[in-house]
Parts: sequence; structure tokens; C-alpha cells
Amino acid sequence: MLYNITRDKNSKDQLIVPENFMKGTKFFKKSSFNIKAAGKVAKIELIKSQKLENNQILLSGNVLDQLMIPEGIDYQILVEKDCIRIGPVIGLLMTSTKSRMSKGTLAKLMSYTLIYPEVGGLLVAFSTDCIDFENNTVQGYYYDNNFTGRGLPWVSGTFPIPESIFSRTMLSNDIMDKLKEETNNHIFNSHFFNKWEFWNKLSKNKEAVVYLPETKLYSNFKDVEELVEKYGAAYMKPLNGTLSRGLYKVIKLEEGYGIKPKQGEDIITFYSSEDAATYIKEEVVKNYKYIVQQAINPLRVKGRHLDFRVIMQKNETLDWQCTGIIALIGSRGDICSNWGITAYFEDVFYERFNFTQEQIFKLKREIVGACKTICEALESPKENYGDLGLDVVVDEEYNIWILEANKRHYHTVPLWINDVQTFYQTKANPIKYAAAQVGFHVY
Amino acid sequence: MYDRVKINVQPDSKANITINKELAEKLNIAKRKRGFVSFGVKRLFADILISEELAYGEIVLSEKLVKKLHIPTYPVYEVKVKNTEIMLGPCIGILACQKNKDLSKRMLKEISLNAIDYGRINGAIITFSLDKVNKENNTIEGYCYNPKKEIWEKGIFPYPLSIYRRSRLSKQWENHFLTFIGDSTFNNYSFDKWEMYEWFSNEGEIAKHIPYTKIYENKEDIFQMLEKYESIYAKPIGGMKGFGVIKINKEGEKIRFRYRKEELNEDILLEEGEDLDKSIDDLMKPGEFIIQQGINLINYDGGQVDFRCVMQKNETRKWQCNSIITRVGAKESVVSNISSGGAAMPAMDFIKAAGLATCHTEAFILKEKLISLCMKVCEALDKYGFNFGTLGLDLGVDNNKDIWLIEVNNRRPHPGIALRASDIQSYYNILSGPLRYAKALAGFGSKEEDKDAL
Repeated sequence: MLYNITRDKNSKDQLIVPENFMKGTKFFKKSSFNIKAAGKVAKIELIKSQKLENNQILLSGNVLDQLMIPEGIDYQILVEKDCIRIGPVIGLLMTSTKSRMSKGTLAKLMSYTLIYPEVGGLLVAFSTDCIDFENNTVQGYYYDNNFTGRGLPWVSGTFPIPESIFSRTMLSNDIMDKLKEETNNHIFNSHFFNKWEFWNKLSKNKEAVVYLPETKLYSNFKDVEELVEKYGAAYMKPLNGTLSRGLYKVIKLEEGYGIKPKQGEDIITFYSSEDAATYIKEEVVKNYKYIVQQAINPLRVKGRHLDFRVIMQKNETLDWQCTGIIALIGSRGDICSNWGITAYFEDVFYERFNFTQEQIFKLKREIVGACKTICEALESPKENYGDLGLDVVVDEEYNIWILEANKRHYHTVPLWINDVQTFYQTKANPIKYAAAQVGFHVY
Repeated sequence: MYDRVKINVQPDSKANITINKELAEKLNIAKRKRGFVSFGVKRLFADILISEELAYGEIVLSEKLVKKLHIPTYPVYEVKVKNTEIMLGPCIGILACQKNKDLSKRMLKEISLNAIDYGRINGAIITFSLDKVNKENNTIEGYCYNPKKEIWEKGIFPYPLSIYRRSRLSKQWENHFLTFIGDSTFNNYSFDKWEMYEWFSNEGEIAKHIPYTKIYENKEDIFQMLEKYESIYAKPIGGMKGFGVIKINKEGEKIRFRYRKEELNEDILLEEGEDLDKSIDDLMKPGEFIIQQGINLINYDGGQVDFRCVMQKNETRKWQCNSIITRVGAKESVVSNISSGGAAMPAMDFIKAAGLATCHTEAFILKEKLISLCMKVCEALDKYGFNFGTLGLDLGVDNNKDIWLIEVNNRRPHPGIALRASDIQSYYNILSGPLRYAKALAGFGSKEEDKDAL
């Protein structure tokens, strides 16, 4: 149930509630409570009033000021032992600097508010440079669901550091650690891992490693040679690149090696491994860090590579769920299919591979299961993830391979197949998870 | 998911279990010499042997262990360790019917569809009839799913740790199983429309979404309600699928009754007087009907529209909405149930087609609102102490876009509903839902470790 909280100017240290508040619970007769919003605490006297509607609550002005929460929006109220919690106080940490919290940014953030009626509470968008760790506050904009003015319903102000934070921006280790402490590890996605850390962490996990192509950190050409020898071909990928930027394929030829740079370019042939090694060192790797990865032979549609973006998110169940799978079909001959044609997962297998609906269901469940295994393997007590975009390939034997887990994945991928509902779901799930992970309801 | 293992059997008259070293380390039992193995409700102490040769995904059980515990060896099992217990599972029961003679090949084939997600369920899925339960040995004679051959194999098995009730389970049987497996049988409770009205009218968040309802006691009730509401519905208290629903409204001094009788739509208009009294007596018996405020549900193409939401608990034991289908009743029909000739389509397509939402955003918000009411209803039923895994909720939207709860169907929802909407994937999802919840109840759901830790 959501309660609209109004400031009571005439009282001090009071929470005035409708008569039947908490009726049927053991707290019904108690009158003295601590009241909490995120990390801010105050003491109140609970007063029952016949005059209030069922979802109306008055809170003394001094308490509102102490808690630093605005009046006039709809909150959930939880009663736990001797403490009343007002919330959820959810943070959207979207940019590093205040200057980037433009009207345009705030307008885009509106898609996170569609689910607000099911969650309520204080939804605060803020930037990294507006966190005040001394006073445990943030400066930012809160979503006012009863906003009637002109413009966007984001109102600026100073609020407690949110108890649950969805972060889509890079944070320094120092700030991340402080926020972890402040939110009791309720900040996600917490640690940013690169491709090598991804492999390093998961390759030790028996269930997860079966879905991962073998990966090495490039130190010299020997690493490349070894994987090409073993698998016929290997990819060189920059450690931190996204999508297909900086991707090279190395193939074993009868004599020497072939190297195929990105998009549509021809294979360069090297008759000796020394030449190939030099090219890789001087033209590919340069000063960057690269990984070498076993090449997978993906399914093809009319000669084009097929791969999948699987959106894995936690929602109010606190468990990983698949929000959507989008098929990406690369342009012919490309080494990577990013930015090609997109389609519904089901359609591709039904139309191109003559799958029965039953086979499609089973393959989909297997892919989602594999992704869930990967997501769970990434978790550890100190890290918190809730929103990942996995790059998945199915090879010609229908084995499932997971190439990468993207932490700031494009939420707009479902829009590439005009699936607006899945896009909205992708925006809603992090909010649902953010509320549920700190004990609030979602519905 | 827990680690998956294949079972190999070794002829040995002692009870022992051999586990790969790495797996034993992961399960934290590498140093253990002795423990007990459990399958379903059966348990037996066994010696634990650790092997470096054995593959990670294999376990060797001695013949004695297999026989004593009634373990079928063809399924793929998950293995879980709880203190000194080594659990093989999940061990799930499906109560198909009361009598074994009704457990036909056809029925087994139909139940195979529930196991379509076996790849993520694993374990022993045992279909049985109530008359083949052996109360003395705590075993059942039934059929266990063989995933490789995709057939059901006959055998004797221990009581499973959870039971999906496709068929009725009497109070006595419920209590019998309670002793051995706890509150782990789910679905198929009976409660009537009136009970439900009484409960939900006391739930602040649900009450405003249910039409005013009372038990029909005498004709005066009808006249009084017609004073207040434009139209009213009379429904048999225990009715399903829209059978016996009568729509009543006033037209001037006359009263119109519309209902279906023997596949036909009946429509009678009567003045107050003896004819009217007699017709009412013929149509409805006091105490057996409820009368309900009529809601002006939106119409589409002349037919009344409602939304069927299939709510299911998943492997985390939490409710999820697995499908919303819009049903459009046949023209002039008083109900929108498919079985009375309506059509169905996925809710999202409809919401836009019927102009209920002018944009994607509105459609999304409406969908979330529908699901939100369903969640409240399902969680209320949880709170009342029922163990449901699947519920079919019928919701309506009126001309003011207010949402109404029309009916809660607690029997197995007809999976055909998704087929009609040509959404076969969600049909499979609904069919496989009960076993995901059954898996959790049998101790192998996701996050079960956290629950054990508490």
C-alpha cells in the first residue's frame, strides 16, 4: 500500500496515521517508534486520527527535515520491530558530473518511472560528483508522481544517500567502496569487469566454464599460436572494447596465418609466424591490452553470422530472469555480427532453421539456463549485479557459448526489433529489483 | 541449479556412494566418511567414498542403496548436501487421477508436456494415481519420466517431496502426506465465489477492484440491486467457465434476462408479475447463486472483453505472470469465456488494437496494473495459507479504465488459452510452470541454500 505523506506544520516529532494503520499486526498498540528513510533516523510518537483517509499520513515538519525526504509523493511504509521505514529510497546513478544531468538526460530517465505506481517511494537521479559522504546526502532530482507543473516531473533537492542504487556510470574504486558501505552492498552493478577478468573469474567454475570459449591474455604471439593450433582460428579482442571495435580473426592456413581485420576487409596472409607476430604486435595490439579467444563457428543465416543478445536482469523475485533475447544477424562475411539485422529469437529458428515450437522452447530454456549459470557465477558476497546484457552464440552443433557479459548494455536493443514492451520491461526490472532488495514490495 | 550427476550402479551388498574428488570438495564433503543418502522420503546411512578417476558429473551408488531407496537410474539428478544428508533430486510427484485404470497412455502423454522443461528441472518426475499409494511402505507405484527416451517407466518409488495436484486430494490424504512431506502438495483447493468475495472485500487493496456481491436469498435482492446498478449478474456459487451465468437488467418497467441454455443465447423480457416470479424461480435457487454488480466492461467488435492472467510460482517460490490473454466474448454473449465461443489474442496486441491505450507507454502501464492486482490477489491467498502454484485470474477493464477482478480460477487453467492466441511459447511456459515450483518445494529451487541457512 502506498501512503501520501503530507507535512504537518503544527506538531513536532509526530507521525499521524489513519485509525486502522497496522490493524491486525502486533505493532497495532505500540506508539513510540524510530522512523527511518535510507540512512536517516528520527524518533516519533505515533498518533491515530479518525480524520485521515486510509492512504494519508501526516508527518511533523521537523521529522521530514531530519529525514530529508520530500512530502507529497507516495511512499511505502514498513514496520519492523521498533522501527518504521519510509521508502524505498532508490538512486539512479547515471552520470559522473552534474553538468551531464541535463534536461535531455532527465527526459530519458522517464522510462524508469513507468513502474513507479507499483513501487512508490523516493526515486532520486544523481551524479557521482553530487555525493556528500560527510553528511551522507546526495544532491539531485527526485521524481514527483503528483507533479502538475510544466516541464519534467524531476524536482531538484538534497536527499539522503539512497538505500538502494542502480548505477550505470563508471565509479572509482574509492567511491564504489564508500557507496557499498553506505548502502550495505545494495548498489548494482557494482564491479566493472573486463573480458579477461570475466574469463578469469568464471573459468574456475565447473558449471560456467562449459559455456565459455577458451581465453588467454595476450602477452606474445605464442598465445595466439596455441589457440589457433587447438581450434583452427582465434579472435583478438581489446580488453575493454565493446561490440566489434578492434576485433581481429586469426586463421591457420596451410602455410602460415591469415589475419582478418574488422568489417568486410580482406584477409591478410602471412607466410611465416614471425611476420604474423610482428603484424599483431605493431598493427593490432600496439599499446593496448588484448585477449586471445577460441573462435566459435556460429550458426549462419544466408552466410551471415547469427548471435544473440540476452538481457538478464533481477526483478522483484531477487533472482535472475531473462527479459528478452534478440537475434542479431551480421552483414555477410563480417567477423562479428554487431549492428546487423535484428530479429525475434523465435522467428529466426522457426523460419530459418525449421525448428518446431517445442524445439524453440527447449533451446531458449537452455540458453536462458546457461546465462543464469553465468550470472550466478559472477556473483560474490561483495559484488551485486542485477542488469547484464550477455553476448551469446549458438554453434553449428547447437552448443551454447557465452562470449561476454556487458554491464552497461544498451537497454535499447529490444527497440531494434520494435519490441517496445520488452524495452520498458528492461527499464522496469532494475527499479523492481532495487526496491525488493531492500525489503520493499513491488506491486 | 545444483550440480547435475548421472547415476551408475555397482553390485555391492553394503550401502555406499562414490563421488568425484572435485565434486566432493565443492559439496564440502571431501573429508566425510559417512553420511546418509536421501531420495524422496527414503533415507539410508552410507559410506562415502571419494574417487579421482570418476568423472565430475557421475556418482556411483551401491546396488543396496539403489534398491533400498527405490532410485530409478535413468534420470539426471541434482545433488545437494545438507549437513550429513546427501540429497538426490528433485523427487517430484504428479497426482494424475484417483484410480489407476484412468491413468491411460493418453493421459501420460498429456502430462509429458508438463515435463517439457526437463532440461532445467532434472530429477525423478513421478506420475501416479491415488489408489497406488502404499501407506505402509511410504511408496507409490507409478510412472517415472525417462528423459532420454521421453517415455514413462513403470516402477515403485518413494513418496516424492512435493506433489503437483492435477487431481483432487481429500483432507485425509492431505493430512497423510503432511506427516511425511510437509505442506508441499499444491494446487486444486476448492473454494467458492462467495467465500472469495468475503475474503477479498476485507483486503483494502483488493476490495475496490471487486464488484459488490451478495448471496441470492429472495427476489427482493434482485429488485434492490437493480435499483442501484444498471445491470447485475447472477452466477452459480460453484460455477466455472461461465456456465449458468445470467445477466439481468431493467428496461423501463420490465426486466431482461440473458443467459446461455444448451448452446443457445436466451433473451427474455418480462414485466413484474407471476411470469417474472416463475422465471426467476426456474433460473436460480436461493442460496446457490450469488448476485453481483454488473460492470460495464469494454466491448470489442460487439463482444465483451476480459483478460485472463496466468499467475505461477517459479523456482524461487515467488509469483510471476506468465501470460496475459485478452478474450473477446461472442457477440451478445453474457460471458467472455472461450468455451462459449469467444476469441483470444495476446493482451498487448489487443490493448492497442482496441484503443485501450494510445501508445506503448500506456499499454505497458495498463499491463503492469493488471499484473499488480493479480499479485495482490495471489499474495492474499498465500497469506490465507493456501498452497497454490498456478492460478488463472480473470480481470476486466470498464469504460472508465478501472480494473475489476472478475474471477479466480483455482483449478488447472486450460492451457489451450495460450494456443488460441497463437502464442505457443507461452503455452509451453505455462505447462512447465508447475514443475518449476514443485522443484523448489522438493528442496531444489534457486536460492534454496539461503533458505536452508536460516
